[in-house]
Amino acid sequence: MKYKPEESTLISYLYGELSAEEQAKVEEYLSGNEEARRELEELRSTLSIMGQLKDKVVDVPTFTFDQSSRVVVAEASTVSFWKKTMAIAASVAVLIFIGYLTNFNVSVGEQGFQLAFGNQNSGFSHEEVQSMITEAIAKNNNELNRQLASREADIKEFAADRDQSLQNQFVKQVNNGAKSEPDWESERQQYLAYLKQLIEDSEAMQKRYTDQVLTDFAIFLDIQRQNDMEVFQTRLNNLEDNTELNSYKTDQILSNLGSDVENPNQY
Amino acid sequence: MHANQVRSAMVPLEILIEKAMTGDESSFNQLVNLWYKRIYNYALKQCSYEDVAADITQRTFIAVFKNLKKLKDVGSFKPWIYRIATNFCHQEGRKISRSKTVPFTMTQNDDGESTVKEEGEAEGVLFNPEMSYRQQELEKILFGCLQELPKDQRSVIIMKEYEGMKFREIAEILKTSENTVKTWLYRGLKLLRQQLEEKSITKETLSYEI
Repeated sequence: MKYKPEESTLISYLYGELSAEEQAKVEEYLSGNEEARRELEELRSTLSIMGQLKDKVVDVPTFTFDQSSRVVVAEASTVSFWKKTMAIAASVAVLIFIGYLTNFNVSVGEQGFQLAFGNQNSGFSHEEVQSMITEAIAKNNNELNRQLASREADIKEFAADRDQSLQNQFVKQVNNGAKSEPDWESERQQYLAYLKQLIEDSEAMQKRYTDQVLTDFAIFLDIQRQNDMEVFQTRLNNLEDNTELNSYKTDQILSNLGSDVENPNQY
Repeated sequence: MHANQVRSAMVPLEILIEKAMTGDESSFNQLVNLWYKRIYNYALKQCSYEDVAADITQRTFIAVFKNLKKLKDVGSFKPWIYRIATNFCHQEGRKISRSKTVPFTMTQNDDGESTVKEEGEAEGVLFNPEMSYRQQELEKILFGCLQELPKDQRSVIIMKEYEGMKFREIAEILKTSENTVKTWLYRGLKLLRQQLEEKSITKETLSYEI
């Protein structure tokens, strides 16, 4: 029986992965078989033609992942139809139970549509309403009369008082008429005191104002210093960002260089 | 292979993955930096549409971020991420083959200008428009040929030829044996050869043209 290598063996031969013994066998077979040799040669050239297909250059995107939002989406999609239905049924049951506990009541009668918690009273009759109104008016009238009477008494009392006090004042003024002499000395003292007070007030105000200006200036200086520091910080951050970007770019270039398969086509 | 090169220049990949596992966004983004180009090019060869490839790549990395905690062995990150990408590609492949109306417009913009730059294609003295145009046409044809293959054979060819993986790794990703992977590769290459012959592209015509 003549030896005929399998397809997988021929491929191993093509890639030089056979043991010396097997390789010798295949070579012997090929030397005696023109057609097989030609076929293998054609496969080899096919490989080299296919080797014309080169890698494409591609921009690598950056991936960012929002962990929390993904979880939320996943949760929303896992609620099943039955879960939803059961939830609605349970809500309705709870509502009915609460309605039962609070004696919730709906009825349509002579007075119209009625919604009520607990026992309902039927409305008042026409006569009852009439008597209630009369009673209320009578009560109101009594109260008004009483108030009017008390006001009248008050006014009378006040007028009497006023009369008396006017009379007293008049008598006093008549008595004092003769001995009213101006007191210059005491008035001078009073004005001096006023003047002193005024000067003191003005001094205090000025001091407050100066203090205020000084504090404002100090605050202004502080703010300016802070701004300067912020500018400085921003500059530093920019520098840091730039450095990071550069190192990232370097990494990308390195990896691009590194991820090329070297000589994938041996033929 | 490239991970080794990177290791010397940057934070070791294992440490990066371990950090990203704890939800550290900057480590994760470094991880994206390392793998984005590979996954994108892998997806592009699987589906041949740039927007679809970008979409698959993004979905792959989102899936990676969500499931990184479940990765037991840090060392198996590479087969793991390729498996995720492969699954997305196959899903997308089903959608595309269902709709069937999408035309094959690879690297053309609305204004007809090419947006995708070739690796090593400079705008300097070496840039040759005619060569670039031929290269583009050839790429269109090669992308088209890849699309014609059954998905497993296509995956194997891309992983072996363009991602430079070992047969063992590919077998792990596709959850099959190494022998099966080799068989798929053999049959995929034969199919590719037939298609290239139909389009009369051989090594000789290529070396003449380029």
